[in-house]
Amino acid sequence: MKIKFFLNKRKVELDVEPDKKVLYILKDLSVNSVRKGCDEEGKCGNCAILLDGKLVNSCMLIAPQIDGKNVTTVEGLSENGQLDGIQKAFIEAGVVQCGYCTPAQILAAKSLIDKVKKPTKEQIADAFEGVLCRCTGYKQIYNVFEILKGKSAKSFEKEYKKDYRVVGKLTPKIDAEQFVKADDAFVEDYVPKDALHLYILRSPHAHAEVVSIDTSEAEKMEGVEYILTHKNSPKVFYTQAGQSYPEPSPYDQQVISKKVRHIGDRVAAVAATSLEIAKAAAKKIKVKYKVLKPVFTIEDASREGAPIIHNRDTSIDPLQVGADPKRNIVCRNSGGIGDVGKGLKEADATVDGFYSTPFIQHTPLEPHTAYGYMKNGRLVIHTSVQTPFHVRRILAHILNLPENKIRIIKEKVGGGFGAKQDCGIEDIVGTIVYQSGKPVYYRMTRKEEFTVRTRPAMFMKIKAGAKKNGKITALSVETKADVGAYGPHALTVPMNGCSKTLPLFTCENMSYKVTSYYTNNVVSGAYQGYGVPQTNFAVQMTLGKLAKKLGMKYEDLILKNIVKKGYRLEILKQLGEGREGLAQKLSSCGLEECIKKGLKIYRTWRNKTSGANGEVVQGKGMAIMMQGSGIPGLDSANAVMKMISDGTFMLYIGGADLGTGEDTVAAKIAAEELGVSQDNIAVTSADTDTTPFDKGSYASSGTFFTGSAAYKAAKSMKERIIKATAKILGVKPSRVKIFPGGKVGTASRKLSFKELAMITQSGSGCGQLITSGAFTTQVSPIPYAAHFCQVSVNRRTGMVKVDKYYAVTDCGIPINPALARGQVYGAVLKTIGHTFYEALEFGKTGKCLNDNFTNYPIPGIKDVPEFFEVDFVEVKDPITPYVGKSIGELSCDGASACIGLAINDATGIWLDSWPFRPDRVLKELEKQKS
Amino acid sequence: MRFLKIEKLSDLKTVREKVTFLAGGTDIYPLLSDGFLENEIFCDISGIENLKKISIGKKEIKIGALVTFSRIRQNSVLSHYAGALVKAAGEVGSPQIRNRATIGGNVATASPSGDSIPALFVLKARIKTNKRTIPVEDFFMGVKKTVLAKNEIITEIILPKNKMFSDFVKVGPRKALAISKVSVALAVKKKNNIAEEVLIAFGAVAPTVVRARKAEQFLTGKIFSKDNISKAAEIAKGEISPIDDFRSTGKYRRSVAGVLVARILEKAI
Repeated sequence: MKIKFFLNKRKVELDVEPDKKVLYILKDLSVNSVRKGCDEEGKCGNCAILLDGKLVNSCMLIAPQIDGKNVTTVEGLSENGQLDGIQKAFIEAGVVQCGYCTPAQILAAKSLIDKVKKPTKEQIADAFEGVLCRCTGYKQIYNVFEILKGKSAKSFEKEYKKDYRVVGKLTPKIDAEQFVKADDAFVEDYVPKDALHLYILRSPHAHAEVVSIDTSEAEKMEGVEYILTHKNSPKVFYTQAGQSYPEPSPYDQQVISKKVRHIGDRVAAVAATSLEIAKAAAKKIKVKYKVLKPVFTIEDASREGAPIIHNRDTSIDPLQVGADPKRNIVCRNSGGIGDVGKGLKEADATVDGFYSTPFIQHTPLEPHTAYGYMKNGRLVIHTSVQTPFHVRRILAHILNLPENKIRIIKEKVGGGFGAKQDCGIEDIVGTIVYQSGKPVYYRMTRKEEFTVRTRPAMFMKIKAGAKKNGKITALSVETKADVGAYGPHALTVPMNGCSKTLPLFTCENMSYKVTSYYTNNVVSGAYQGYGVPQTNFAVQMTLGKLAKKLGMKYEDLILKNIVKKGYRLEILKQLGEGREGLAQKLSSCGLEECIKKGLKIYRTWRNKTSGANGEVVQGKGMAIMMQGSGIPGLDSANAVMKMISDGTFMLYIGGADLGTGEDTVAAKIAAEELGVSQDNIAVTSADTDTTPFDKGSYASSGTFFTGSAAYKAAKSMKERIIKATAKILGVKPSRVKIFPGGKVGTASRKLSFKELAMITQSGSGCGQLITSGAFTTQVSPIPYAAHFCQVSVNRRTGMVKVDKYYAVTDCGIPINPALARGQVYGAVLKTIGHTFYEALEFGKTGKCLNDNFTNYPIPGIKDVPEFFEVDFVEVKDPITPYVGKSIGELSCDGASACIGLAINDATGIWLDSWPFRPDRVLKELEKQKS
Repeated sequence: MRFLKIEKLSDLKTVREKVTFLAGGTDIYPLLSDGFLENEIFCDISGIENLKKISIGKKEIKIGALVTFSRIRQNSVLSHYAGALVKAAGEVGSPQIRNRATIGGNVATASPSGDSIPALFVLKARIKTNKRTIPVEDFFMGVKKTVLAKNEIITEIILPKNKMFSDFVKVGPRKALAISKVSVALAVKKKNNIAEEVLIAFGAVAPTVVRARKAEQFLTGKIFSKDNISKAAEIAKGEISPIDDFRSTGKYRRSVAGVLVARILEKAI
């Protein structure tokens, strides 16, 4: 049918199928801003447009419904390249993180501000409730409206470190502009029209063998160009885990295996000229399965005679991590310091606790997306990934290629949270591109996201004991993890849970034991926090019980036992990543300060009883937490810096910014070191051809590792600048200094950086100033935090509301204050979701029952606590340039325990497993009554 | 899949095939991409202007089938006479959904968790179609099943213009965009703190809306005392037998349903 409409005031006439969704009509018109975050359920709201000024989802409109109407998208907001006021305010408020949902958020703001000039908090929440965001925690959206009223960000965001000019100061995220304008940014924005579309036929059985597979009918279909099955798939075993080599994850996977191990496992992949054809062809593939008995619980997996999920050769595992595949054990490890048995005997009070946490999904709004092609005999993949260099190495291994025949380019990542730490789709996309020689595009559906990466289910037994005076004498953690069908991160997730909880305390008798099991559940892996949110929940709840038994306040017990600066963390020697770890003396520790700062506010909160018959009771809780800043002794980062001819700089880093602001951090550190403004540093990152090696973005390594590499490159640039200038001026280098604002020379004679660049790059110069910085370390600064909350529990409905939440963090110096704050808000709100309602539910056959945003709810703006504040304590640490510690993962580690302890304070019940659904709360309350 | 479009109600006569009518489409479009509707014929009625009116008469309020929930939510007259419906409208989806989803569509889809339906029960709505007018009580047959015949469409929702207190509450996992675990609509007419008329309806606990008739009977003619309210709530929750599913347990749904009834009744005092 023919339709006419106005797209950003420009008339468009089209002849389209009447059932074509407006989302796709706009995508075909190269409108980037309509982002698809759900499977067209109308639930994520990221594809929103304004239709005659009203906010609507473009996945919920078909062609005839825009006929004759005005369609506005963010592409229409900026005129002559100038940003609209709302776009500017989004950048200034620091609320742009990964940028995937940003266009929809901007339109939500516009639809509101066009009606109401000074909206109330309620009106803002109302306007934004249909746009899901997983990064920001929504809180800073309210600041956007303050800025629109004329306030400056400085009036509500603090700055840090007086003596710095760029670090600790409010500067825009360097890539924010492209997100608010919806310029090409994500993989999906660059896909060429001739790319083949990939559809993956997935297993309907949780455990089966493919007896026969017949693709002949599918191959005959017009438009089908390549089909991959186990028959023509590479036979190489590998792990998808994006970890430094040798990986502590088992080599238990093939691109497509003859055996399927979970519902959703790969059976075949069809590349065709359109997704519809690929899908239709996949339906014609005839597969005969020999269905095997599945196991879905650790109990069943470890039973005598249980079905063996991976009957494999463990000698190919790069690190021997205690695998026993015949017993479905992926890996094991145990260790400790002192003697826990003795510690328990010495204790005046002891507590045992058992805790469990379910499979959870990351739900970045942009799903896994990649496209690849062959160019000059080389395999090139553009992808949304956290670890491009690891992916290159893994692909080279799978395809038996030299690494220099592969190029991985990380485009902007629309949220990762660990889901994209692995070679999760590049293995299959790369294989098909390489074997077929054709360009291929693959984008996962939301439904598929739920099967390929999750947080493993964990079961934790904790023992603790303490003296009457509160001194903890013993603490032990025993974790069993159900990691599902394959083993990426199977050892390190539960171990990290131990290595980021036990070292919080000065206790002398501590032990841990972790065992991970294969089951036929969905595949698990890394997820922001990496085992710590779960383990810390278990540990802190146990200590909460212990404090009660001792008749102590929780905070007093904690303050008596925490580590301080200078303390030697002996336990870390035991807790390596599949090998011996490194004991570490604390070079800084702001934990006590965080607790004391938080307590000042926390102690002013009074618990009240309200509602009919006093049904609503309040309670308070707190929790402490730590994380790492990258993995010392294991990972590394590199940076290269060039001065270009006008005296500005290019900074090349291997680090893979996944929306958190890592590129900005690197630019700020380099700018600070060179005495120039942030604008003077342009960053190119995470392209295996053009940028130097970096482990990638995981393990909270961005700021410390990648930032330190940038620092070293900038420091070396400074030295080169001084040397080159000294030579030009004919003076000793010791007389030359760099002056702020891009000048260098002696007190009497100065060159601008531009003049220096001209001279050095001229025919008689010393050549372009190019430096590099390589960063490795044996120690890494540990970030700490204390979180506090107050909750209301409705004793009749079992519903719990977080009324107040206060997070105080030692991340060293927040290099980007607004973005650092945003990291905390986002992490906390995400964890509130995990605590209360997020959990994958499975049917009897192992099928996931809630693999969509309709049935797997994630927090929206209305779930933000009414009082939600984030503060920082400034800490000095000699081992990190500009004192940047990590922050994002850390901030996921406390909310569950905080809330759990607060619920106990309010009601006396203990909730030992996530999610704290109202029916469970009510059940516990009933148990308590009887 | 085929698409027809009619611009006037009278054009309905020209539609010969069995069609699925399309208004805001918010319940239909999510199914399009799943390929469930490949053989369906759709008839877009969203352009029929005279189904988009809200008219407030002396005795009746007529809401056109194509009125969106955004408009219901913002209508100040409706909030006087149909508080439960206005509240339910605010609970539908998100702003983007409310800007498209229509009351006619919500009723015709007949989902057990359709937010507006329990409200219409307690407001004693009648569903007017191009052929007849049906009391809401007689309209629903089961999950996604109604009495609508082939090519019969809802044209209006008619509410008696009563100044009754009415309210709607739903419980879902989170605040916006939630599919309800249980919802309650309630309307009360009282004189001197005595209940003259009480209507209680539950959503999401059975294939169709369930009226708590025993509780209604119990409370009618009685004083709005705390004691009577809690007795009524206790009776009401005994009138439903919701099932367990992954969203919640039947036991929980039942007990929270009782609490919601009590909570609204307490507001009515």
